[in-house]
Amino acid sequence: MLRIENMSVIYPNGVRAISDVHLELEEGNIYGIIGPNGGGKSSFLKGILNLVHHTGNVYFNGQSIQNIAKQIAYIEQKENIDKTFPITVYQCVLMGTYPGLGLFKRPGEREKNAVEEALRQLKLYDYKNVQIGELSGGQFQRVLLARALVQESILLILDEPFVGIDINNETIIINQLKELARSGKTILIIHHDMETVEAYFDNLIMINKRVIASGKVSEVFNQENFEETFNNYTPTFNLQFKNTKI
Amino acid sequence: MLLFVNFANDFMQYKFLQEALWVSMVLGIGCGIVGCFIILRGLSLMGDAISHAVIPGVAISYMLNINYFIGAVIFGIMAALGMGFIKENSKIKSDTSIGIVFSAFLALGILLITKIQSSIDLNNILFGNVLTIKNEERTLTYLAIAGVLLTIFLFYKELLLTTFDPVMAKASGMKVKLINYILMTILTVITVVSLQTVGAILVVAMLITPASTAYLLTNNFKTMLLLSALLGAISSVIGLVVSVSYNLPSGVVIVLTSAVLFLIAFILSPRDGLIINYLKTKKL
Repeated sequence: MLRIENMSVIYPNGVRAISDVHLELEEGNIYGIIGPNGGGKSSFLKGILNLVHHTGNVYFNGQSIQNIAKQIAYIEQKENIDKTFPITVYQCVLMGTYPGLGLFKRPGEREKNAVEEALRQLKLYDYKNVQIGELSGGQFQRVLLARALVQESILLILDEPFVGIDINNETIIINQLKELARSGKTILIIHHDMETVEAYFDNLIMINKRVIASGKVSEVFNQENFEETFNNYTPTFNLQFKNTKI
Repeated sequence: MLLFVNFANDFMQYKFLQEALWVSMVLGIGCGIVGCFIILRGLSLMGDAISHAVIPGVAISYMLNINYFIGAVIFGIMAALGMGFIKENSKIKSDTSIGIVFSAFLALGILLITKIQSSIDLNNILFGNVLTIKNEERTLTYLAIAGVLLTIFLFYKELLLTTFDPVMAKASGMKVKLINYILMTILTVITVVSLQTVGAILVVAMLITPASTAYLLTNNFKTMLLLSALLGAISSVIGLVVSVSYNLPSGVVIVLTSAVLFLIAFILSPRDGLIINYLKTKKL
C-alpha cells in the first residue's frame, strides 16, 4: 500500500502547489489523476518521488518511499527528454536496469534478456537499433514504458503518457499497464482525456491544489466533483457521468 | 606530405618533440571523452568558465611555490560550487551565474599575476605551450588523465543515465548531485592539465569541438566517445606538426585543426550534415 500522510508541496517562492494530502492507495491498481493545469498534479507526483521539497511522509508497504526508490519507475512527460541524445532504443531501455545494479556493476545476460523481452512485449523489437529521435511520439512513449518494465518496478508513475500519441500506441500502452496492475504493481497516471477515464482506470484522484475526491471511478467521477476540480467548468464535450448527483 | 616527413625527421631526433606529441595526444583523447558528457549536458559554457576561473589558483600556487595543479584545481572546484550555489539560491539563471563567477575569478587571476610580477608567463597560461612542458608536469598530466578515464569507466552507467534522464535517475534513488560533483571535478582536473597544451583561453575548444564533431557523425553514445577521443588525438597531432613546422603557437593550431574537422563534419556528415539536410528538404 502506498500511504501518503499529510503531504504538502510548497516551493521556495512561497507557491503552495498542493496541500494536506492524505491517501492510501492499494497495490495492483491503476490510479488516474485528473485536475486543471496548475492544479498541482505534477507537484503531487514529484512530492511522492521526493523530487521536490515537501512536508509529511510517504510510505510504501510500511517503509519510507526512499528505501524502495530503485523500484520506482517515473516516466516524466516525454517532451522533457532530449530525443537527439545519441542512443538507440535498445540502449535506452537497458538504462532501466541501471538503478537496480550496484555501483561499478554492468548489465549482464539477465538484464539484456529482460530488455529483449520488454522490447517484444511492447512491439518494439524491430526498432531496437533505431536512434530514439527517429521514433514517433507514441513509439517513444512505449520505449519509456519498456524501460520501466526492465526496472522491475513495483510503483510506476507516469506524467501524461497519452498526450500527442495515436490510438494504436495508446491501446498498446494502456493494455500493458493493465497487465502490470494485474500482476500487483501500483500505477499512478496523470491523465487529460476525460472521455477515457472510465475505460482506463478503476480508481481516480481528482486534484486542484488539494485532493478534491479520491476513490473508485464509479463513485467519484461525477459532475459535482468535476466542477469543483475544474473550477466550476461545465464540460462541453460528451461526458456521460454514470453516477451523477445532479 | 613534405611537412610530415620533415616533422618525422625532427621527431626522431628530438626527445622533447616526442614527449610533446604524446602529451598532446593523450590530452586530446581525455578531453574528447570528457567533452561528450559536457556537450550532452549543455555544460559547454561551464567548461569555458572553469578554464578561466583556475587562473588565480595558478598565480597563488606560484606565490606559495607549490605545484600549480593544486591551486588551479581548488579554484576550479570553488568556481563550480559558487556558480551552482548562486543559481540554486537566487532567481539568477545558470548562464548569468556562470558569467558573474568566472569573470570575477579571471579578474582576480589577472590582478594577482600583474601584481606579483613573478616568473609566471601570462602568455603560457592563457595560450599554453606544450613544447616547454616539464617532466614533472608531464607525469602529472598522464596520472590525471588516467584518473579521469578510470573514474568515467567506473561511473559510466551513472554518468550516462544522469546525463540522459536526470529526473528518472533521481526518482530511482540515484545520487544525481554526487554524480554532478564528480563530473565537475573531472572537468576541472582535465581543464587544469590541458592548460599546458592549449591554455586557459582555448581549452574549452579541446573539450567541446571534437565531441560536437563526433555528435554530428553518430547516433550511438559509445561510438561518439570513441570518435571524439580519436578526433581529439588527431587534432592534437596535426596541430602540433603544423605548429612546430611553421613555428606557430601549438594551442592555437590544435584548436583551429579541430575546428576545421568540425566544419567538414558540419557540411558533409552523412547523418546531419548541411548537404544531406538540404537534399532531404529538397526531396520533400
